[in-house]
Amino acid sequence: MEYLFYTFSGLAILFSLGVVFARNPIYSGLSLVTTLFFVSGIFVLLHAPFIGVLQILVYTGAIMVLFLYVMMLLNIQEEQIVGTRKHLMKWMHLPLIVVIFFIFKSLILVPTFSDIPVDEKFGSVFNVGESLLGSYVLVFEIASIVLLAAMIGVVVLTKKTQKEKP
Amino acid sequence: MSLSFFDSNMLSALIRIALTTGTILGVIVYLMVWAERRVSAFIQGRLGPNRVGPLGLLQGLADGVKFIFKEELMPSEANKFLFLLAPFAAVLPAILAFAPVPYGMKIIDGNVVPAAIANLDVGVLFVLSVTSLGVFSIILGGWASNSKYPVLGGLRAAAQVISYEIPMGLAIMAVLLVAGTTNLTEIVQLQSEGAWFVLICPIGFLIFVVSIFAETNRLPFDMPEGETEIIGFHAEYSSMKFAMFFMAEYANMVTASCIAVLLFLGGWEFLPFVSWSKLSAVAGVSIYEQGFWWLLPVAWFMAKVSFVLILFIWVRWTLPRFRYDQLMRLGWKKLIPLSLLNIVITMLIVMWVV
Repeated sequence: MEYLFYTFSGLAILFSLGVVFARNPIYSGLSLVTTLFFVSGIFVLLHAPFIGVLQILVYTGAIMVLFLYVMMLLNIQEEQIVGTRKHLMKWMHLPLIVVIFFIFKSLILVPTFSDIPVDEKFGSVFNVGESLLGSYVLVFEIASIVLLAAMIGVVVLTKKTQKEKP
Repeated sequence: MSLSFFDSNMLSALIRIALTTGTILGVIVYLMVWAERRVSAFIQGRLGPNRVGPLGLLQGLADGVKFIFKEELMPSEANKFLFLLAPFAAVLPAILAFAPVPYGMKIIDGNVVPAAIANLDVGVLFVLSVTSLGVFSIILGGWASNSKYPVLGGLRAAAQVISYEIPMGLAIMAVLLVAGTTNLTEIVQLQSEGAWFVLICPIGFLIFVVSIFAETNRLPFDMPEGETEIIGFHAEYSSMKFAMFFMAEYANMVTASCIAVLLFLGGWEFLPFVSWSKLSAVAGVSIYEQGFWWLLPVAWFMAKVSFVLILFIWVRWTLPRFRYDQLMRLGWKKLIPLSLLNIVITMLIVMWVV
């Protein structure tokens, strides 16, 4: 099981670096898709298959599709790096290396997966549903109201610009 | 060491993967392409391909050879990497989606072991999420061609697939409400003794069937291809890369038909209220436990799936293609409200009747 974890996390880190460093925004977006895929693999290893599947269903299948859709419609060109920024970029990797070092250090200290005792039904659809609508019902409802407000806001904003056009 | 199809070790898992994907891509998709042409011909009063091999069964082989030997064309301004990636991005989810689909089961030492590549507890959701990845191939294929019509075709197709995912998901949700589980094998077992779920939520079945027609880009919703008047996302593809898009489409059809049968039509069970175990008890054999009797329900399952697949062809030559705005109106203004209503009705049925 451990080698799977290192494969998934290593590839996830690799592709998330791709998100940042790819010149072509389409490649950036596709790297993010791949990263999310591997992260969902880690969720499955953590005995949470439901969250892992939702990760693909919501982020990869819905949100990233819309991201790419918009990117392709806008037809963004490859990033042109100007001189001053390039100068700055030269030193950007230093903090990154430090962060990666600490992530790897903490990973080595993480107990192996077989050590974690889990309940039979842990991470199942039933358990996630029960905790969302049971112990965390208030937070869940507040989150849904905030999302609804955002959705209505978007509809109102886009309607306004449409009215001004003619 | 005796090796069984149902063991949970690595080797038998590899055997299951090889057998299942091989059967789907090599046999079922192949026969489906042949049946598509023969049944179309039958509906239109023609003969169809009948020259290559008996009943024209080797026609697919001849077509495959033709596809391989055709010239590979790539637009000079295309993004080469993504252009090559798109057909693979179409085939991969199509095969991957079949992983949790059970096509039979066996009882070993009192435990139910489904005949599937993987027995996932989140089987339904896995299929939904993996099939939703297929849309990337449409967007990438259209965009990477760097040509006007494929880009427009890709955007049109992607919008269609995303839109029809919603009523499909909601129709499945109604079934999950009745079943109370997302494991496909358990859903079939729940239908074995009682009514099939098509009898409990018939509206859901209708919505689901319409949605899978749109999801797999079949007539009357074949806007993504639209080979006669509007051009689809794979206009610039030729040779084997084009064939891969088609293989993925047929593999998707097989998966969608399997899910329709498992969720609504009782899976491998005989008839509503008449299960195989009841029937075999009369005959004096325990069908899921002894020898190779478990292949009988598998064959029955195949028969049901073939029926749904024939339905795909039947509808193709019965209904004309929708216009794009009609398609979107049907999806957003009719199917989504109807599927929400279906969920409410199903909830009431679950609360008071079942």
